[in-house]
Amino acid sequence: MNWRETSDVVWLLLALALLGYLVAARLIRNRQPGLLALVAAINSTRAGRVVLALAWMWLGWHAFAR
Amino acid sequence: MGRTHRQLWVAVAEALILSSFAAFTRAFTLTADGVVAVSYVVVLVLLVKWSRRERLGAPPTPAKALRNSDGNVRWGWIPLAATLALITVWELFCVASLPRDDHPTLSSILNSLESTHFGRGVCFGAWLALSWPLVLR
Repeated sequence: MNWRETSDVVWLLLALALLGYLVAARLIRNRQPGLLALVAAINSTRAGRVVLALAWMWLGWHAFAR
Repeated sequence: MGRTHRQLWVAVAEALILSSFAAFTRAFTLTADGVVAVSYVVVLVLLVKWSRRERLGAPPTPAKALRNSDGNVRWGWIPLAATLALITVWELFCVASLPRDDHPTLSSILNSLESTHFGRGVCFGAWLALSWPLVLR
């Protein structure tokens, strides 16, 4: 297996792990907080909102403009 | 139609218009800069407008995401934190390794997804969708 194939497998496994977590979080809501709950926790303070807004802005600039 | 429904339709309509336009732009051009800048303005205006409306009503309740209904800490955060940490570690490893074809980063994967107009439009829409929890809290 070369580096490219290894990288693809690792990215796939990580994506599946994240997806699996999100599905589990939907199924057992009270014990397993989802990504939205994490965002809500950060978003509940003014500083957290500013950090999230800046992160979102950076992502858009990096992915679509520069 | 309730307030949240109206907000959802406004946001979806704006996202569709912006994504359709963004689908036909290319990175490192003035039009790409422009559509990202317009998106910033739209989201920031909605953020300020809808937050102000919220302040006039009941104050937002503090997030209870870290605790369950009994008030105990939800240890279910650990697998999520571990997965996000692994993604970060692998991304950093790929960033530090060359050639890029052998070590694709999240950015290079995104670039290949954006290689068609349709893919770019969908990615742009997904980016706008990420702002939804930020705007509507």
